[in-house]
Amino acid sequence: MSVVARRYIPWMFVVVVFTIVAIDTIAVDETIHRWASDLISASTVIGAFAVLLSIVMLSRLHIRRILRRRTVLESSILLICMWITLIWGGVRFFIFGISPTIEPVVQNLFYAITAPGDATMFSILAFFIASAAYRAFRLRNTDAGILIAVAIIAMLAKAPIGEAIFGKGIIAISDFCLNVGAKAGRRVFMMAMVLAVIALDVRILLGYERGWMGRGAEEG
Amino acid sequence: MKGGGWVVEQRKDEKEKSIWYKIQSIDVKWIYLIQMIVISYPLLRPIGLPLGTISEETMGIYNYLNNLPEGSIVLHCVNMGPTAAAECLPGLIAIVRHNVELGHRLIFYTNTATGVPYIEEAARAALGTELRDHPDYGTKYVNIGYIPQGTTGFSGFAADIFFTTTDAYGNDLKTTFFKDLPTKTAADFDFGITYGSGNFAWIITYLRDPWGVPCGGGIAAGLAADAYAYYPEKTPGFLVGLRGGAEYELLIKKPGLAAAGMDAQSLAHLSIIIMVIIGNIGYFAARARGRGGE
Repeated sequence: MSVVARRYIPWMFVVVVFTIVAIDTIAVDETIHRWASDLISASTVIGAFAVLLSIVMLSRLHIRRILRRRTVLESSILLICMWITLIWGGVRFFIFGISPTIEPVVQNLFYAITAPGDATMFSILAFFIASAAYRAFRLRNTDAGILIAVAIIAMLAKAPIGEAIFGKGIIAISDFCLNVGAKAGRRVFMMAMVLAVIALDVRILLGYERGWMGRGAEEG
Repeated sequence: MKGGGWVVEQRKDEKEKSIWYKIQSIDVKWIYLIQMIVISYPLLRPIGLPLGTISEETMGIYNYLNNLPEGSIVLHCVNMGPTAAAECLPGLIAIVRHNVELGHRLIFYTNTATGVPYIEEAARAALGTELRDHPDYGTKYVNIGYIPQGTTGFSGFAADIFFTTTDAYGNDLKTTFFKDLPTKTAADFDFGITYGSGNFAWIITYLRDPWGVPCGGGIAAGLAADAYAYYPEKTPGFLVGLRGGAEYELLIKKPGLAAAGMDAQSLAHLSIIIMVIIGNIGYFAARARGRGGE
């Protein structure tokens, strides 16, 4: 493929899409709005196809693994079985019109496997946090002291026991930490992030940043 | 060399036998056991600690919803999975109950596939029936369901309400719910609320700023710092974690799951604080005796 096709066509496409969507956010024009809406719809559809593509690729990999009788077959078989169940949900939707939202197989899978598994993984965090706090929170210097003090205040204020022991003062101190200290820090971080994204966008638009096009464009 | 090594071994033994060393290195299994007891006990036998002062953020969202006129359109973005559900689902149920009492019109939407069942669960708890079976479904309540591609999908929906053409149950979206809306865009909504452990900023960026819709949230406590950056300038309020949910339940006078979980949260926080203090006592005592802390 020529350098033009590999590098400039995707770049031009990005510039056009960016311009239309950017104009739509700052100007009121029916035509531009329609174009921008169509582009957003297209990106959602492309995203859905990307998921489909990844499912096909991953299925191929795991089916090949099962056929060649590689080690750790159980997880591959489980993955394929799960996908067959989901495909069944899709078939029921497209043929019988039963939406996955009310499809009992999908719902039961969610409540029996996904929800308890996911919730268990997350709740284990409470134990890890307790253990990590006990081991790592050592008052070694002033910085660590401030960190421990604020952590204790926040933990006490965010549970009824804090107010029950220390009164409303603990809430006021916690609010001060969140509304002044944390807010200021967070805003600086967010502004820096936004400026970095704008800088990256400008680099992409000017053609300096080509990593998103893949290796071919970089080499060209 | 051999003698020197023996002295080092002896000192190490002494250090390991010291009570101060032991209290700063309690075996992890005991910590887990203590946590398990302090979390489970109050769930089985509630202590009934008073909740205390209702936070400003919770009051903010409560008052805002309370002051909306009957028939106002409230968008509920249920972007939560099972990880956040323990913290955020009680808040969602409480807010939906409040909306139903006030006669608001509700739109449910999610940008994560795992959010779909929680829409159903919240509606079931607040309405007493399945959402699709409710007599007012399609007129007062509508479930858009899952729109893929996160904020891009939402932008499409915000720009054109009929973006997905059908609701979560396959019904045509051009039902009576959307019939009387003047612009058929997100500008017609009166309030938007995001729930979950994702970031809070997205609803400000994609709903509040471009469409002028005031927004709030019911977010996991770990992400509260994100939301405070927008409070009170860009959001009237939000619920922070389980405590926010409990506060809202008390405000609408319907204590539920969140209020029940407050005792467990209190004791869990207290046990962590006590363990941090014990660890530091051991550390300082060991350092004062010249044995060094961990």
